[in-house]
Amino acid sequence: MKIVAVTACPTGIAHTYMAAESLERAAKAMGHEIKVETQGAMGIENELTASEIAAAGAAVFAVDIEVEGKERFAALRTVRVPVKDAIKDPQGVLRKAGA
Amino acid sequence: MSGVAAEAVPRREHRFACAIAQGFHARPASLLAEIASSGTSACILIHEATGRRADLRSVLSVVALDVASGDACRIEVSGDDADDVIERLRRVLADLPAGDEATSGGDDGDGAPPPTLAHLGAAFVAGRGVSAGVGEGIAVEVGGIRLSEADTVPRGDPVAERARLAVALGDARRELRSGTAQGLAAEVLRAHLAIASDPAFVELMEREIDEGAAAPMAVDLASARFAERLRGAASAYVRDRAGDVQDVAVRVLSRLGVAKGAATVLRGPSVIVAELLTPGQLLALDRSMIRGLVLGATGATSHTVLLARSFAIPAIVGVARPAAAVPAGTSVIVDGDAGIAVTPITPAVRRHYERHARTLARRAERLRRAGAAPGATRDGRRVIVAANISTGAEAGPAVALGAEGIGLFRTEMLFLGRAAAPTEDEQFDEYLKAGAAAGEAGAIIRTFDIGGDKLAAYLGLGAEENPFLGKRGMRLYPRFENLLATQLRAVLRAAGAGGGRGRIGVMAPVASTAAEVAWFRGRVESAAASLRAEGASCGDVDVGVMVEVPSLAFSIDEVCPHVDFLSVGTNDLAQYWFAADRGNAEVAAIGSVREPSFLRLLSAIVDGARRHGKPVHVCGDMARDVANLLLLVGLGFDEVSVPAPDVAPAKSAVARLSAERAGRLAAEAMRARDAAAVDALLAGLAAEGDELFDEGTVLLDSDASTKEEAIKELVDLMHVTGRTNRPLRLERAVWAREATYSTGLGHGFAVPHCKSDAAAMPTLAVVRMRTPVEWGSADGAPVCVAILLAMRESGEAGLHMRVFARLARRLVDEGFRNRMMAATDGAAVVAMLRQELGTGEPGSARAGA
Repeated sequence: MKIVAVTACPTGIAHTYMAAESLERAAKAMGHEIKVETQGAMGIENELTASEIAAAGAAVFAVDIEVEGKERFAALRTVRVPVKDAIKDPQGVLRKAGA
Repeated sequence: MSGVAAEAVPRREHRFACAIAQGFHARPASLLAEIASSGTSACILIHEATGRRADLRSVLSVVALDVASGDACRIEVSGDDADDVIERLRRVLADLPAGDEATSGGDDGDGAPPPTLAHLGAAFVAGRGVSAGVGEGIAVEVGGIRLSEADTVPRGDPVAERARLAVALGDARRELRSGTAQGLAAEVLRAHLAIASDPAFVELMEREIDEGAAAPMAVDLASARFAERLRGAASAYVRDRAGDVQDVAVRVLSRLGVAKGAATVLRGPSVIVAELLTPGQLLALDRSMIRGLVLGATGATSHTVLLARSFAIPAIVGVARPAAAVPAGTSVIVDGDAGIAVTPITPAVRRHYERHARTLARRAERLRRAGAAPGATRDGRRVIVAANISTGAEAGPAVALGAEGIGLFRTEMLFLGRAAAPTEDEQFDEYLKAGAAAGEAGAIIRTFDIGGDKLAAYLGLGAEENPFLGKRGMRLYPRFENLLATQLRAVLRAAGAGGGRGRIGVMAPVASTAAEVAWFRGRVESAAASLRAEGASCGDVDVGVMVEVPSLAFSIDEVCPHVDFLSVGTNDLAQYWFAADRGNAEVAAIGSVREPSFLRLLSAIVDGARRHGKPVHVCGDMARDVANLLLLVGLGFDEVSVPAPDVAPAKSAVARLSAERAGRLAAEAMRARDAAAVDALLAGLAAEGDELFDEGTVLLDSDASTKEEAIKELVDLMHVTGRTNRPLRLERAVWAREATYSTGLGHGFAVPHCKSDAAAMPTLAVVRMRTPVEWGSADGAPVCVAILLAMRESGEAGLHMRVFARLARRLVDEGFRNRMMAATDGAAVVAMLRQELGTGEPGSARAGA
């Protein structure tokens, strides 16, 4: 299954990127395809395009702050979890999203 | 009208903006009072905003005007010597330092305990840190003085009481004048002398006597009234002079036979506890026993606090009822960094401060080493970092701070403020002192630079219309050849007494043409010939010239045959290049030393010196700015000379530079459009070369036993390596982040982090604990390895942030974590991080971006 995800933490220095890495590794291990957009201290990186979002089966928000451009995901089923959950148990988070 | 004109006394006025950060306080006011009192003209200072006026001879009246930094002022001088007096005042105003040293310990020492202590729940007394450091001792209370009843009864009539007072005042002034104190303590005595001589103060005392008071009573009442007037001032700096007035009162009272009580004897390491501690009281105590000050209403900018700072005594002020909070006899720790006093001293408190002391000692050692290393860029180009001094006695301490010799000995201090010029022997002693302290590194003595204004009544110079374009520097020498000959003989004898060539150099100020330089060299040779003819000892000296006038910068080919070295005085050179008086607030903004035109001028001087194989130095303020060092090194200067306290920081800054890159940058700066473009260039490149981490930010066997200690250990690594000068603020920023949720990642790792300008540069620090500590991690496991990511709030973040993001991602990898756990030393961790994060060698952080 194709998943899109956004990670964001308050300072945008550490957890945003650890969560992104964790989700990417978990998805690979589970045989899914994932693209993770990070919204951290460097701004938005690896930005999700409209077609990528349209092609996805679910969206995961691993965030402690508001997601920028949330409306882009209006048509998708979304799961929102705290950032640290995505670091502690990324596979669990992906399963929650139906993966 | 013509009748009036015939009798009119000359009147002159000078308008200026107060350039002193703390406004007109006692020390600058006493300098002005000295000049105002030396002539016959009346001098009035007018504060334009309020229209209030003060007699310039009265320090207290000037101080009480409450002139703040930037306020418009006017000085009116009327009398026969008005021309002379106004010029001297003008010069003193232009030369006043812009402010006292920045407060240390003050801005983070807001009276909150360090996080480690706060989390321990240690008992403490809150104040405000005003002098950095930590000290422990037994509390000793020092109180004020009280008059006895007998002191309130006049011994005779008002005339007799006035006479008693006059004698006591005279004695007090003599005492103050004969003080042997040096440095700041001497300045304090000078300010006290000005207060004791203040006509307004004396008048107040006399008025009290006329109203029936005994002399001691009059002193007490008048000083209280004056102190009250100062306390009402808007500026804290002025309010803080109250202690000085009390000191003077105590001194006069003791001359009137009113004992100030037995001086407090300190029997062991002591912490002084007082509501108001005057500078005199502090100076009277045995300094070797003082470990700290806990003060109430003593001001943060009082002389007491300035002295404490210069003696490195930790101090806090603003403590409510200090004597009750820290009773005499209790053991107490004064933490001038945090602004608290801690009592009782529990084992946990002691452990905290022992660890803290270890950090401070490591930091001091590192600074000492930075000062001890020879000045050089990191790619090995030698850049000598020397010190500027004004008296021979300053040379030793300057060398101890790392100065590689004396780059500028301003000798005019020896000539000013005295009835006759110093003798050859007096000067010989001074120059020998400087030469001996400087040793092989050498000392460069600049012959006297006295203008028609900053002077030396014994030369009998009149005022000039435009003194900056008048008889300055060596232009005076043909008229005072004997004075110059005496000085040159003293220099040559000092060189002879010391030994080898190059140990002592001599240079002339404010030269405009090669002919002047040739003449100066002739004078040196003729002084040497006269010494040899007398059979006196005479050494070889290097002869140089200050490049301060643009015309000389374009006569280098003609000048070089006459000199052994060149020294650029950037202050005057910029002032003449831009035709803007740096003492005049209206035009001071014109002409930054970073203007490309000025950099091209400097480059022309360096290139000229190179062609003739002569070394070229900089001894102006430009070299004090660490960012400018990059330009100066890039332009090719061989030596920079700065005030002694700036030596070690300048050396560290030079050591971080690559001469090759600095050269490219300087070339680019010279081609820039304007100073703003050069500023931008410097700001952009400053971030690039910084390393995020090195062996100094990795510690693999920490004995930290709690999360608090681990975080402090990380911050301490930054403190020791000069990556933060505000460790407490940084530590609090880390804890503020920690409060949102724990940064424990699980698997024994934590990544505490923060975004704070308390970090001097973005840094990655690593601490591995001998015993894992509880961190509140998601998996409940204690933490072995804590990695601090300290970002800055301002500046270009992208580059470093990318490295941090990469580290965060690597931490998810078990293999990476295992390698961190298994690393055997700091070097291995650094190498591994460089490889994994793609930062490569220092200076190439861009590589991985």
